[in-house]
Amino acid sequence: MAVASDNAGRFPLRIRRGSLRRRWLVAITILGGATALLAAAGVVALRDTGRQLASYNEQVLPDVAKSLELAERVSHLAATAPYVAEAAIASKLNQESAELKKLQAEVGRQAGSPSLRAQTSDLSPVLSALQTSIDELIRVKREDLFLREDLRAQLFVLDELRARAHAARPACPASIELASRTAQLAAGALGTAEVDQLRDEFAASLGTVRGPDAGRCEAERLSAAATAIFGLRRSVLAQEDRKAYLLAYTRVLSDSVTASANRHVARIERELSERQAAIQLAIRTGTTGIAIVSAIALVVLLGTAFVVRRSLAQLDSVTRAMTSLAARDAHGGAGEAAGHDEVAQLIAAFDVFRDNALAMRGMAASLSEQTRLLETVFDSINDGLSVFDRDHRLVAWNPRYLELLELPASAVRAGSRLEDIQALVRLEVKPAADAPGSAIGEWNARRARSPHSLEATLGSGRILSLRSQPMPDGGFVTLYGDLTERRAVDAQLRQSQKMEVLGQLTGGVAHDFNNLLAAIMSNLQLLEAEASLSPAVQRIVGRAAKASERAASLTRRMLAFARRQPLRPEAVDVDAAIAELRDLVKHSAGHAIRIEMSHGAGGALVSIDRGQLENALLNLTLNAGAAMPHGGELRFVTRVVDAGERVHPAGMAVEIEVSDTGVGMSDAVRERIFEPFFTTKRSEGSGLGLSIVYGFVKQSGGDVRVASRPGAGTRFTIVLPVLAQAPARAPAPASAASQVPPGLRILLVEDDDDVRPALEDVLARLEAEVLAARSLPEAVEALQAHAVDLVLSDVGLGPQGDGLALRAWVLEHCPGTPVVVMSGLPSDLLAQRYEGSTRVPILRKPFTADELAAAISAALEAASDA
Amino acid sequence: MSSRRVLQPARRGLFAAALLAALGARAAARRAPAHRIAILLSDLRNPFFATIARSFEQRLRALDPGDGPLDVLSAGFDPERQAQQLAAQLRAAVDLVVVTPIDARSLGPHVAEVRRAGMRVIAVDSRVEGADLVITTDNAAAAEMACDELVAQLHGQGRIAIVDGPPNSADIDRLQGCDRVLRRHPGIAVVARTSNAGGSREGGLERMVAVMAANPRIDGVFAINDLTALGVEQAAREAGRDEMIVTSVDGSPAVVERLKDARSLIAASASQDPARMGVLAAQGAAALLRGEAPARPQLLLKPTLVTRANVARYRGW
Repeated sequence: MAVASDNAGRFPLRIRRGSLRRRWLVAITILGGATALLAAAGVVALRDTGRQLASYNEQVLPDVAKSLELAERVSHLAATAPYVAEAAIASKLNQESAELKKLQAEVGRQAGSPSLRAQTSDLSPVLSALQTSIDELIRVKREDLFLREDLRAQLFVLDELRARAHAARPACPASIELASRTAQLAAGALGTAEVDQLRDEFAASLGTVRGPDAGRCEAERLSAAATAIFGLRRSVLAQEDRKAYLLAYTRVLSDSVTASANRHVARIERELSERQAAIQLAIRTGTTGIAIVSAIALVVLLGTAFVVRRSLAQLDSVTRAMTSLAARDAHGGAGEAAGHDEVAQLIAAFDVFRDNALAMRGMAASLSEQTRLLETVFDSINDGLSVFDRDHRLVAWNPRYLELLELPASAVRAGSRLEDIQALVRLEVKPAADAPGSAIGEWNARRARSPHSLEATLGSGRILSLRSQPMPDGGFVTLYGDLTERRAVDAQLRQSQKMEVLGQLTGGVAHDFNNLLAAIMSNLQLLEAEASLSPAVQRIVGRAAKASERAASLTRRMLAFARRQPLRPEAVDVDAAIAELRDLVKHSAGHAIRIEMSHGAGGALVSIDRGQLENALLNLTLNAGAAMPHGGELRFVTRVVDAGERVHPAGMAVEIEVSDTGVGMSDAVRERIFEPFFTTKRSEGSGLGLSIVYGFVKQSGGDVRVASRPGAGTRFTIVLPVLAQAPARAPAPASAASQVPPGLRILLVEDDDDVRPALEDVLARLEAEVLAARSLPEAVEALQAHAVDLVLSDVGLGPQGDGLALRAWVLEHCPGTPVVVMSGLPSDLLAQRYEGSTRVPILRKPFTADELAAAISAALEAASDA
Repeated sequence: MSSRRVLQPARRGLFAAALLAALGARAAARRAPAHRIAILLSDLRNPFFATIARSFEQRLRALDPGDGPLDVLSAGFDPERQAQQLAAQLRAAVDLVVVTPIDARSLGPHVAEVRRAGMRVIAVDSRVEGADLVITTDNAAAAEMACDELVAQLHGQGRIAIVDGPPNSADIDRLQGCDRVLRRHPGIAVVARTSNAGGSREGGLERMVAVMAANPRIDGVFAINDLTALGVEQAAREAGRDEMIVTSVDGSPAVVERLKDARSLIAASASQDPARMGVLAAQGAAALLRGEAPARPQLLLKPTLVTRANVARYRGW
């Protein structure tokens, strides 16, 4: 906005001299005026021409046509007249007369038409004379026909009289016949003079007939007929003359009409040519005018075109620059601004605009980048984010916000009220240390004013941390963190640490105690074997031995918790193992308890000590039985799950779920359930059962969890890593010392002076020749001096080398000589202290004589196989 | 009704006679026994009518030699003129009129008028209403003969023209007779029917010129009478169109001459007998003048067909 007003100040919108607008306005005005003038001239000329044409059409042409038609009809009339005159029969006469009358009527009608009135005013006497003449002609002709017919009738009579006179000869004289012939001739006489002459001759001939002859020869009738014939012939001739005159007169009249029509047409033609000349003049004038105006318009048009072209070129460069600007090319310029017109101003304005636009684009780009960055951050942070305005209306949020508050996406939209959202979420607020007060409303009010954070629990058990920060314009931003896992991890870590400490403590005590027990037990065994003892002493020794064995058992169990018990893992089908256990479980649980088993592991194998697994499950059964004194249901459920890092090696695992419907336990009890010597059963139990389960599962690379609520039963879940492939069957355990061949030369390497003599004795019992060494160098010396069948060595041999090194030396220098390595250390410690110990089978201390014999036997067998 | 009608003219006749007697006793006395008779002919140029008149007069004189002069009038085939002529007889106090009607329609009222005045009327050649006696040829039969011959000579196939005459009963009957024949022959196409040719040679010529101009081929022509046929033949000859044959009604001497000529286009003519007509009219007139009613008020004469083949045996008029 600031930029725009600045430009307006620099380029005022004022029309200056020589500006484009002014030039274009002038040009367009001239063009418009010229065009209007042109159009007006054209319209005037056209209208004039049109009027001329109209009058030409309306007056002249019909006038000429009618005039000519009149003349033509009159000529026709004159031409038809002779036909009338020549008609020989009445019907022909009637027909021709009718034709003539029709023509006459047409002529009369035409003469009366308005367009011919001027012409016919001088024609009317002619036309009426024509009519009279033709009427007379028809009448005369009709009379002529009748006269001729009468003439024929008289001739017929005359002929009859003549015939009779002829018949009456000689009574009638020849002069009668002569007279009748004379009369007959008169019928064809060509002129009145001839008629008169024939009449005189007739009279002379008939005059000779007198007296009775006249009567007898019907002279009187003859005379009457002849007189009629003479008269009729004279009349016919007179009519002929009249006819001739009338025909001539008709022709003259017709010619007169034709001449009049010709004159009229000539006059019209004259008028016509005058009008044409006028039209030509009008057209020439119009054309000249239009040409002049067109020339002016063309000149102006060319000028305008030049100006427009130049301006367009400049505008084009501006457009190109703007286009390239739009296409994000910041380098395009608008070209040079020539002159002081609008285009020049536009170019100047454009340069300023371009700079501003580029600056703004830069700003917008960085702003959008930042926005995108922020959005990405918001969307990808693990925390939920919500922004509410001062009216507690939702302004912004990220997907994690919905996830953490377990809100459906449809429930929240921009403008949703904080209270409405909170009504959907069962949020239990735990007041944070710095924010006493628990009501959510209070918290809402408070966090709008100052930064606050607190912890809240959702109905589902999810624990959230809320950290709220007020915004300068009112409203607040809140971050939601999920504390559930952290809290769980914390609890688990605490538990692990506790168990670890307990394990180390227990393991350490048990280990030392174990060594002591080994010595005690070895000596007690030697003592027992002493035949010289009295029965009473033997009883005492027996009790001591029994007590020491119980002690050893306790120690083993403690070691088991500390994950230091010797395990014999094998591939076990979990489902099958549990199914086999069913009867034992049922028996252990008691009659009131129903056993449900659901095998869902599908034959998955785990690498585990089968006996220990059975022990663990029976342990859990006994616990469940105790929790359900009045009966209930005990369920064993197996399934394969992805246990992730909970098992070692990580990945797929078999989950064994053992749940009861018993009394359950409190959190306090649950947290300590796996601790050794922790028991709720006051009278019975050692408090080591679940500890052993824990130690065994952990030692086997698995994990065990417990979930329980008072009154709602307890559920133990054991997860064990699935064995990728079934391993080769472990060699059948050596069952007896008898399997050890007698007379073996065995090198015993043991730094513990208490243990070494006891072992020497045990080996002696196996009828072996024992060479004893206390350290690695001693052992090497003995091996170099004597050939031995087997080396039995403790791992820990003091500062001069360990059992593993010895084993390596034997493998190198005395290949084929089996080495049995033994140790009283737990595996983890062993692995920690002695590198490579995990790859070597270790005979766990303490062991019985049988166990030793089995290990020796197995080693010998393996060596002979190799 | 009829008795009163008869009485009235009779009374008028008596009145006229008394008037004449009063005007000139001598003239009346001299003419009283003689009857005044007029014969009104259609056209004296046609020998047919002249033959009728001549035959009539001769026969009449033979029957009653004392009769007065016969007035012969011709109308030139103009119906109006004939009507005027008939009306004029009333003033001339004629006793009996023989008329060859040109147009029965225009003549009829005048016949009725003269009959009312006590005049006797004999129609010859054509009928007219109110006539005491009618003597005609059986015109329908005559035309049938002529047209039959025409169709026969054309072998039932061809384009023909009919040249008509004045509209009297003779003409109408002839057209009907010819049409009866043509209806039996679908192979014959009538390509032209002319208007009234006036029963004359000139009319026939003129009409035929028009017919030929409109039709490039004409196989046959039926002409209403012999004079018309002669005109038709003349036109065809002058035009060089001798592809056609012509038949007509009359059996006149001129056509007989033509039939004897091998080059003639006229092939046949159904004959009339005008002489016999005149004789019969004279006998009828005598009877009527005697106050007798004619035995038969209408006499039809049988025609015969005259062809090239039988022309030699034809007696003629």
